[in-house]
Amino acid sequence: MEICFETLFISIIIKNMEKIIEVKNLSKKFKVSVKQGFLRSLFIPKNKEVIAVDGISFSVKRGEAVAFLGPNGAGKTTTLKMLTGLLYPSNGSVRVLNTIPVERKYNFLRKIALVMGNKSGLSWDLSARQSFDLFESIYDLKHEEAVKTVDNLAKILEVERNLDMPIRKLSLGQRLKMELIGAIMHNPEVVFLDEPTLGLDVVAKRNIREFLKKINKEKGVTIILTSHDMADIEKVCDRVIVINHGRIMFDDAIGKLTSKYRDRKYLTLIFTEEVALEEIEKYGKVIDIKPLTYTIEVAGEDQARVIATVSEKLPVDDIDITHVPLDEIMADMFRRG
Amino acid sequence: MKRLEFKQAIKIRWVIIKSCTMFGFRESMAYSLNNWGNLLSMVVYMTTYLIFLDVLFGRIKMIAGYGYAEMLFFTLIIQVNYYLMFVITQANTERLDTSINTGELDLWLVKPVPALWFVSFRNINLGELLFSALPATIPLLIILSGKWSILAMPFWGVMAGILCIILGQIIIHCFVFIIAMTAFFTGEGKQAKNLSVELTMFGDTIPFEGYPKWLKYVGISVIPFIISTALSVSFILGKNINYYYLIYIIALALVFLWLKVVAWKFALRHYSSASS
Repeated sequence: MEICFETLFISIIIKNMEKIIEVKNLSKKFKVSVKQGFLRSLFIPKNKEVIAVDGISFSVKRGEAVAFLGPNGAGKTTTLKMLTGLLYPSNGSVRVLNTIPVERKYNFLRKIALVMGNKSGLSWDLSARQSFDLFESIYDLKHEEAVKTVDNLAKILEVERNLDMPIRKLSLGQRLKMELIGAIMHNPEVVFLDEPTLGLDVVAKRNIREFLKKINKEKGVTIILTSHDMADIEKVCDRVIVINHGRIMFDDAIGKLTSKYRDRKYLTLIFTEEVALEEIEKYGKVIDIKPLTYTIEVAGEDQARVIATVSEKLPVDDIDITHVPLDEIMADMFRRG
Repeated sequence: MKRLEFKQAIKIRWVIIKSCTMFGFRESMAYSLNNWGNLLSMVVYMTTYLIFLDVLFGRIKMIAGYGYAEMLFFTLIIQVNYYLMFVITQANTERLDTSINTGELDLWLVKPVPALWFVSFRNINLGELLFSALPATIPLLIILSGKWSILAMPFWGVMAGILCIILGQIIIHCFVFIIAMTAFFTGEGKQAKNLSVELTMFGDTIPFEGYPKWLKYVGISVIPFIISTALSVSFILGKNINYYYLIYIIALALVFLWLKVVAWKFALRHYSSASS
């Protein structure tokens, strides 16, 4: 019995260490047409090559939640599309679940899911449940099990009342939740998400983040996520890959990314009456200005002194201390290139 | 093992056709008023065409060797071919174009389905057949009902004609589909697709015997507009007994199927996917 547990324990560790995504020197180039005069572009069209992804390498272990971060056009979505087999790489190699994605093998596609925040795979005119019936046939799921899974997911995402409504009648948040249910109702091993909370309200965003975290932790589903919303990344992922100009700038735990900025703090100073900007600038770099409120950046070691001085010399109502937010860290990184 | 894989492949394809047809039927039922509008427009079109034929054959007895009854039968086959083309080919190529344009195709390419089969048959609109094609053809069938005895239909001619309709539809489907795949490169292929539809339906107004020889060659090769209606009616009515045409058309269908697969693989390789 003891040996059995030991074997089980070892096998769990090995399974957890298994690399399910391996990317080596991956590149993708696109040809885009060069803007010319009307006649010229009609008869002598010119193209230029744009490098979207430029020789990136990384691997992902089973059960990891990894985020791709980067500004617009950095190459995040292109990478995601190559990982799912939608795009052929121009150079390098990709293996996901021991398969070359563009081969589009049944067993590979059966184990992955793709959710794109701005694209819909559900029929606009039918209810989500009717679209799920089609997915049920495609994934060859048993009807009772599929219904149970859908009901369960709908309950977690709080859309069980909307399952029988036409998609066109749903709000953006409800529709996106339905997309998510449709994408993962076959219990995939890897879920790829491209901007899954795009345009959603705060509650819907939180709901989806919690859900993703839950399936990652409880079911061991590997999550690969791209988002511009730093909160998505902080709440869902343990590891972040920062991409800019098609290259990897950072690949490690989120904690390590923020640790470099831990010696800096943001102080939000709320005053009871108007205070001149020049007065505030004496204490640190002004980050944000709102009526009666300034946010300044100070070095961690100066924090106590600044708070004491400001409280003594200025009409302070309240002071709020925060770490440098992740989006500021990212903006700083991208500024530095 | 090979046999098992083959059976599995057939099963998946059957499941796709069955599920997608049901799904398409449900979709078409979502807008019932639209169906009634469509039916009315088709009935008006058919009635106008039948009046035109009646007026025409009131003055002349034959067109390209076809009498009134034969021309009515020709019109029936036009209807059959038009709706088959509309329901299978046009609806699916239009959907393909839209899904490339909007990026919806991305979400289907990651599903475990034979992608080419899926995009070819994902949207078979049974509602269109039931609520538009069938009722719109009723006036024609009524007029034709008293004239069947005038029509000479040799058994092998009918068999050859039916085969010709099926092969012709396959060829038209491949032709339109290949043209529609330009959307993979341009992002929008609707007009190119419309042109290909017009080209293939061009043969639907003139009987096979009415074409000059050179146009017949064009119509049974590079632009297959003459096969599904003109040639098949010619076979069914016993006007054409050259069965070598059939062998040629079987070969042509295989070539077009091969071209479709090659074009699909090429298109996927160069697919750039709509930006997100």
